Amino acid sequence: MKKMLLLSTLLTGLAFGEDVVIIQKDKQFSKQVVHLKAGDKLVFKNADDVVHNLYSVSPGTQFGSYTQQPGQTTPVTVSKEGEFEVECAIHPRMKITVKVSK
Amino acid sequence: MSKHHLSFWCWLGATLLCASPALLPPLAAAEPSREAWRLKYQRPSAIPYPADNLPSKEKELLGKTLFFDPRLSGSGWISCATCHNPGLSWSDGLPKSLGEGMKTLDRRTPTLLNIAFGDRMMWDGRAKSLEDQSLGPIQSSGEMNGDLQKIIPWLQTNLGYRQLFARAFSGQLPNAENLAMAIAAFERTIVSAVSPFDEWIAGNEAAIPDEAKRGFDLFNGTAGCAKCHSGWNFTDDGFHDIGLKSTDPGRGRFIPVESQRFAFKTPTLRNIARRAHYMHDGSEDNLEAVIDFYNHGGDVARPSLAPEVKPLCLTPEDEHALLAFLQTLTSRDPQVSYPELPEGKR
Repeated sequence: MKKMLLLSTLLTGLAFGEDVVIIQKDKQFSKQVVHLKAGDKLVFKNADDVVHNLYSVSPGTQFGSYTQQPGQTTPVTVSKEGEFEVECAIHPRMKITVKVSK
Repeated sequence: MSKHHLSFWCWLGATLLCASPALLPPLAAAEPSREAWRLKYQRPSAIPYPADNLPSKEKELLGKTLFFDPRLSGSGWISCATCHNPGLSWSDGLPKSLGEGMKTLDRRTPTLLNIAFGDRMMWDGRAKSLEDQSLGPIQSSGEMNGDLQKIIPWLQTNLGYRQLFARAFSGQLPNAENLAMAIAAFERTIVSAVSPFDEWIAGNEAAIPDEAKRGFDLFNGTAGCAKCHSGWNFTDDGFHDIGLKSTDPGRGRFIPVESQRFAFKTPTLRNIARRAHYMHDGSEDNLEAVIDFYNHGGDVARPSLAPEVKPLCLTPEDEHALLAFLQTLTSRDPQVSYPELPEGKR
C-alpha cells in the first residue's frame, strides 16, 4: 500500500509538477527569483486591492500575458527550461526572474 | 461638473450609479484607520542612487551647469531648465511643452521633483534610468534638437567644461556617458522639501486643517486616489489609462498588453497646487477640474481603462476636502541659484 502511495505521488509529481506559490502584495512579488523544474506550476496570487498583470519581458518565452483582478489566483505552467523576466505591465517595479531547469 | 469635459453618457452613468445605492458595490468591511494610512507616508531618510553613478559635489555641480546651459541645444537657446524651470516646481506652467522652433509638443512637461525615487522615466516609461533618460530630450529633434556629435567635441575643447568634467570624473574628458551621468546626478538632488502634510505625518496635528485631514481619508478610502498615487511621493511609478480623450497611445506603443494602451505614468502629487496644467496632455486647467474628472470616472470608457477609474459619487464637500488635502502637499523648496556657465563660443 505504501509503495502504491509512493508510486502514485511520484507519478503525480511527474505528470503535474509542483505548485510554487508567489504572492503579490503591496505591489511586490513575494520572491525576486524563483527556481522551477519544467512542468512545475507557478501560482500567482494577487493579494492587493488593485489589478495586476503578468507578462514576460524576455523575448520568445513561453510565458503569456495575464490580467489579475484583486484576490485572483493565476496558475501558469512552465513546460520548457529557460530563464525569463516577468513583470507587471501596470506596475513595472514588480519584477520576478523565473528560472526553469530540466 | 466641468461641462467642457463631461461626455453626456459618462455623466448619465455616473449620475445613475450615484443616485442608486443598490447599484453600488458593497463597502469594504473594515477599512484601515487614518492612523494606519498615515504610516504609509513617511518621508525617506536618504536619496537613492545607482551603484555605478555615486553622487559627488563635483558631479552635481557639473550636472547643474550642463542642465542650465542652452548651448547643448541645436538652437543654442533651450536648456533642460527652459522646460524644467525650478521657479515653477521644475516644470513650465504650460499645458504642453514647447520645443525647437517654439513648436508645441504632444505632452506636458513633467516635474523633476523627487525624480531620484522614480523607476521608469518619461511619461511612457521608455527610459529605464535617469542616466538613460537624460540624453533623450537633448537630442530629440522636437525638444532641444542637440547633436552629440557636435556637443561632445565642443565640451572637450571648452576649457571650463574640461575642468569640470576632470574634477567630476577623475580626469576624464567629456563623453556621452559621463555627460548623462552628471545630469542624472544633479537631477537626483531635486527633492521636494517638508510640506505641511509631512509635518502632520510627523505628528504635528495643527500642521493642516481638519478639512484636509478629511480629504486625506477620502484620498485613501472612498475616492481611492492612493491606489495609484501611493506613498510619500504619491506615485506607484505605474502606468494607467485614466480615460482622457487623448488618443496618444502612451506606453501602449512599447508594451503589447491591453491595459497599457493610452497608459501614462502616475505623476507625483508633490507641489501639485503649484503645477497647473494637469494630466499628461495638459487637458485640465485646475485641480477642481481634475477632481471632477475622477469623480465622474473619466471621459472615455474603453477596454484599457484602469478599473480604479470609476464614478466616485463624491459630494461637493468631499471634492473641496480633497482639494484642501492636495494643497497641504506644497513645500517651500530650496532656492536654486543659476550656475555660472563656462565661457566660450559654440
